[in-house]
Amino acid sequence: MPEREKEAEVDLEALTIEFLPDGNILFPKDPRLLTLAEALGAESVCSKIREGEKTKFLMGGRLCG
Amino acid sequence: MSEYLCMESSQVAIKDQEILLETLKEFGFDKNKIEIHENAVELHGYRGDERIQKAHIIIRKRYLSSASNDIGFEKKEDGTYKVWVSDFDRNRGFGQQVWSKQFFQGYAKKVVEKWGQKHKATIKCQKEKKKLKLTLRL
Repeated sequence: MPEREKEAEVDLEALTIEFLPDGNILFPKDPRLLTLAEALGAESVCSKIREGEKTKFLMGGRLCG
Repeated sequence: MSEYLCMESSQVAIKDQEILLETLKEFGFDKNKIEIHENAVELHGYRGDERIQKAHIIIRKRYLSSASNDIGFEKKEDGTYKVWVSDFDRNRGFGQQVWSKQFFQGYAKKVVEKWGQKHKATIKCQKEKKKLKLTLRL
């Protein structure tokens, strides 16, 4: 799939934040949510999102920790 | 699918006073049970003794239990709040809720909702087993 089409597909995607019973939060590694991570004061998550911008279409699955 | 990061609640920094007060209300402490100070004041122990810890937002022990100590939120220079909960209160009542991450999660949920409103996102809230999912569509 051409890169532009992939980008359009990602833009339509819903972003789900999961609040887990152990008190942790699963947060999408998506640059559109960078300001939200900043509002939450989650500095390490902000850094990971910034690092991930270049490869956002290549990543999938979940990363914990 | 976006990759996920696991955000521990210890990574969430409380820095929005309005949302902090809304969260406290949700946990049963409305404004008439909360002291708000421009300058931090001393917390009191269960015998009424003044402690060295200070806070800007305080729930006095009379609203907790007779054996409790005050619970306080001290605003630091970077704008985030440090939470003061005594050893005793970490194992019971509201103190335990604050210490067991549920309070931080409640705060974080409200931050997500406020952020969603600001960015005109639609938010779908879904409970799945013991998990709460907030789905944002921008």
